[in-house]
Parts: sequence; structure tokens; C-alpha cells
Amino acid sequence: MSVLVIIDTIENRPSAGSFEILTFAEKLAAVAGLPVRVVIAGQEIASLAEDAARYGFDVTGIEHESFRYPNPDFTGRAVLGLMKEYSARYVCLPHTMRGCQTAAFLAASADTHYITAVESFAEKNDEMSFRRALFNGKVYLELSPGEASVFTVQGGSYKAPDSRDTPGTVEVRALSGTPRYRPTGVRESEEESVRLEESDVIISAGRGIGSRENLELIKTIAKVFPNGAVGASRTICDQKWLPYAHQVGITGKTVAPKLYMACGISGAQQHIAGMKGSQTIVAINKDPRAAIFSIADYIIVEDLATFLPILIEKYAESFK
Amino acid sequence: MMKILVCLKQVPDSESPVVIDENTGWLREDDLVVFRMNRYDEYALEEAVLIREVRGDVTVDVISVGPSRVTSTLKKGLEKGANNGIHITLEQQGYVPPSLIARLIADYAVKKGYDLIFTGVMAEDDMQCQVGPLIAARLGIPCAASVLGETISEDGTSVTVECELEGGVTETIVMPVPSLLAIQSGINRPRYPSLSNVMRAKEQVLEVIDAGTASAGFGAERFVSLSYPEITSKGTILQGTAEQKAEQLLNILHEKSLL
Ligand SMILES: Cc1cc2nc3c(=O)[nH]c(=O)nc-3n(C[C@H](O)[C@H](O)[C@H](O)COP(=O)(O)OP(=O)(O)OC[C@H]3O[C@@H](n4cnc5c(N)ncnc54)[C@H](O)[C@@H]3O)c2cc1C
Repeated sequence: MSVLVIIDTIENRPSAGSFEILTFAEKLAAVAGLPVRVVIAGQEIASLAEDAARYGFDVTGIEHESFRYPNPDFTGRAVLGLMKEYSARYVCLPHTMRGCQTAAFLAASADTHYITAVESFAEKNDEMSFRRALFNGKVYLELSPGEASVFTVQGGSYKAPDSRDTPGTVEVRALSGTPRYRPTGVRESEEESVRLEESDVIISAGRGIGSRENLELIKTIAKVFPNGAVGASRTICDQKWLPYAHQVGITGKTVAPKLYMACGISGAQQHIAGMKGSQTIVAINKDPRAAIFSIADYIIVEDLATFLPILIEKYAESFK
Repeated sequence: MMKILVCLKQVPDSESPVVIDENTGWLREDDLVVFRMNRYDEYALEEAVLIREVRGDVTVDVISVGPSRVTSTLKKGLEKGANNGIHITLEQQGYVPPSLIARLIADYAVKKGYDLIFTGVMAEDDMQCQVGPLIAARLGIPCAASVLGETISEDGTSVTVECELEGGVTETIVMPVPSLLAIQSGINRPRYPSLSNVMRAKEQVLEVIDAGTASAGFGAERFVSLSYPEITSKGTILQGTAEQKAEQLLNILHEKSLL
């Protein structure tokens, strides 16, 4: 039996953080007493497979023309065969949308259990228990899988392992077969004039600002700083209160300013992934249990509707 | 004629208190907890209704699995424009495995010959991102996740979708029909119910299917516990009145030469 790790690629490049799950798999394998095997899907994957083998695990590269762009359905079909071949007990994928698609296909087809967005696991009373967030981190759920399970692992939960002196073996296979659907290409969203990544200070708005009008307060505060900009959670951009160029998070920008001020942002993993590298994080939220506080340097439990005007007033009194 | 099924989940409103009930170990459901439609599913429903508005010859069914309280979400679905509502009654308390929900919906859908099945990309409460892709896998149809736009071919045999990957990258995929699309937020602007639809929804009877003992013997991951996260923050909690906190914050930023 084995622990299988599945990594897919876009134009033969793995997405950021893909190798983090090797550490999760390695820990899981140690508890279960099983070897880890890595499967990488791509169009031409030999050199990336060599790269992955540096971590010391055996790697199987699977190549197919249609893996140039992510094809979670076809990846699932290919991996299903490998699951049997390597008698996989556990299968680990990154918790990306396409990771979840492949994972669901595998769990349903191989009839295993399935747990997503895992952040950590522990062995308790001879039982493995996997921890994941509910309600954007307000509570945590622990689940115990049966004999076999598929997992998706939340980005940022583990660090990629160090490379080893003895690399693993590499085998690259060309796949045959026709995918059920056809990805035709990828494109980057058009950049707008907002250069969030280059700002020293980002004042970010979340749903908690309450109304579109209150964005003006956020903008006023951002203007106070020499190189300040307005950021936002996805919620704000979805409501079209700000263009997506302002969005911070996994499907938006990754930023690391000197100051990040999160106003009315709950602290969903998808948001935190894009700003946790900021030097100083100030979080303002009316809910003392908001998950954003767990990564904040300065915690302010207040209602924004009253607090932001006071902040602006105090600034005017003492700094202008 | 094209048939679209939209899966709706009822979730506690994000402003409702999230409290672990000491007796059941699961989340407390009392008068303080307000239930509503999962926001991602609102986008999914709106997308289906928009397709009907463009193509005309389309029926939109909404389906939800859960206890009797979910009828209010199905009614909301009718108010927002769905043609029919299907309630699969499942009274099970506590953790309900997404794979069970997916099986119940797939078992219903397989008999109905839907051309497209829509779900939200995830549920706001348990954030599993499972039910959509699991339904597709059970039905043996392909699935696209995080869909930000779709165009159905005129003859209705294929659908071209825009899927969001990470970091502002989108992928274009040509999918066959039938397929399942898991819809991402921001794809449209969900409408408010029209008065005529509100009136119609009041009268309309939901199709009710009893899931009965579906959960008995259903093999799935086992619920261990719910817990609050440890307060691991090394952060400083600013104390005092709002004015005092504002002053402290400004001083801190000043000391750090940010102001
Ligand atoms: C595939 C996928 C990708 C995603 N990518 C991203 C991404 O890149 N970036 C991103 O941000 N999100 C992303 N999301 C969405 C993410 O999961 C969250 O839903 C989102 O970040 C929540 O935004 P929010 O914090 O503004 O809103 P909420 O979660 O609703 O939080 C609002 C907060 O405001 C507080 N609040 C309310 N009223 C007040 C008040 N008066 N004063 C003070 N505080 C108040 C509340 O206590 C709450 O904590 C993604 C989701 C999916 C499924």
C-alpha cells in the first residue's frame, strides 16, 4: 500500500505551494507506515518530475497533450488506474478547485472516504483525526476517515520539505486516451492601474464595511499614507463595489506590504493566503472571534461604522 | 427543451452566532440562528434563470436536501425564478457527509435527464467544495468548477465555460452536455424576487421525496468533534473606548514610521 500525492500543472508548471503537500503526505505515511509516491501530470513533465524527485520520493510523471492546461477530469481518470497499481490507501491533492474536482472523482470512483481543506491531523486513541475549518475559521471540525481516503490539503498549512541527498526514482509515462472535455487555453485577467503589490500600505475592506458608501472612509484612510492603496476581500469585488484588481487572496493578488489593515474581513483561508506575509497586520472586526485576529499584530474589536470616522477624526486632530 | 437542475443549500447566516452545543457536540440551532440560501448557490440559480431568459425553452428546477426548514430556501428559489422545487427530506442532525447529499441528489437527477446541473462552488458553512463534483462523478458526467461564465452552443450540445484558477488566471473549457458546473461568486448579480414570482411561490407545491433511512449504513468519514480554534494570536488587543483605540493605533503606526 502507499500514500499517493497528485500534482497537476499549468503549461508544465506546478502551481505555487504544490510541494507543501509532500510534507503532509510524508507525515501521514510515517504514521501509517507506508511509502509516499508522487504523481505529476503535464504535457512535458520530465524535468519537473526530476525536480520533485529531489525531495526523496519516487515520482511517476504522466504526460498527455491535453495536460497542457489543467484537466481535472482527465487527471482523475489517469490517476484512478495508478491508485490501483500502487494500492493507494491515502491520496493527497492540493485544496484548489481543480484539486477538489479530481479528488471527488477519485473518492467517488474508488469508493473511499473524502475530506477536503485539511489543515492538520493527529492520532488520538488509535484513530486518525483530520482538522478543517468551518465558517471561515470560526469553528473547527475533526473527521476520521475509514480504511482509505482522499484528502485535499489547505494551502499554507505545511511547508515544502527540504531536498534529500538521495533523490527518488523517476518514471515518465505517455498516456493514451481522449479526454471528455477540452481546455482550450488560459489567460491572465487584464491588469488595471491598481498596483497593489507595490504599495507600502494596504487598507482593505471586507463585507463588514456594511455599505458601498463606507468605502469612502477606507479610501480616505488609504490616502493618509504616502504609498497607500485600497485592497478588498472577494466579497467586495463580487458586489462590484471595487474592480477585481483590488482583490487580495488566492484568486486575487498576493501582497506583503509594510502595513495591511483588514477592515471587516473575517479571515477566510482564501483571503489570508494572499496577505499573511505583510509586515504589520492590523485587524478591525466587531466579532472578537473573527479568524483574521489569529494572524493580526494589532486587534481592534469595534464596529467599523463608528470606529473609522473616529480614526479619521483623531488623525486630523493630531497629525495634520 | 433544456432542463437545468440547481442545487441549493440552506446555511446559517454568517452574522448568526456559531455556538457549539455542549449536549449534542454539534452546532446549536436556536432562534438566534437565521437560515438562508448559500450565497454561491444564489449565483448558480441566477445563472440558470439568465439562461432561460436568453434561450426561452428552458426549465429550471431547484433541489435541496435537509430537514423541513429548507423549504423556505426552496421557496426563495421559486421566488427568484425557478420553475419547480424538489425537497429531499433528511432529518439527520449533526454532521451530514457531503457524499450522502451528493448521492441523494444524483439518485434523483439520474431519472430526470437534466442537460445541465448547477451548484455553488462551495457552501459558506462547511466549505467542503464536495457536493458538485461528487454528483458529477456519481452521474458519470464531466464537471467544471469555479465557473465565471458559460456559453451554450446554439444546438445545445456543448457549453464553453470560463473557469477561475488561482491568481487571476482563467481557463476556457469546451464541455459536452450533460455536464455539471460549480458556479463561482461574482458571475452575475443575483436578482431580488419579483412580486409575481413571490405570489406564484406561495401557491406552488414542492415535490417531496423522503430520504428515509438513506443515512443508515452509509459509509463515510466519521464525525469526531467540533471545537473553537485556540486563540494562538500573538497580537496585541487594543483596549479602552473607541477613541482610545484610535489614538493607540495612530501612535503605533507613528512609532513604526508608517505615519
Ligand atoms: C475558490 C474560491 C476562491 C476564493 N478566493 C478568494 C480571494 O482570493 N480573496 C478573498 O478575499 N476571498 C476569496 N474567496 C472567498 C472567501 O472564502 C470568503 O468568502 C471571503 O474572503 C469573505 O469575505 P469577507 O471577509 O469580506 O466577508 P465575511 O466572511 O462575510 O466577513 C465579514 C466580516 O465583517 C465583520 N463585520 C460585520 N459587520 C461589521 C461591522 N459593522 N464592524 C466591524 N466588523 C464587521 C464580521 O464579523 C465578519 O468577520 C474565495 C472563495 C472560493 C470558494
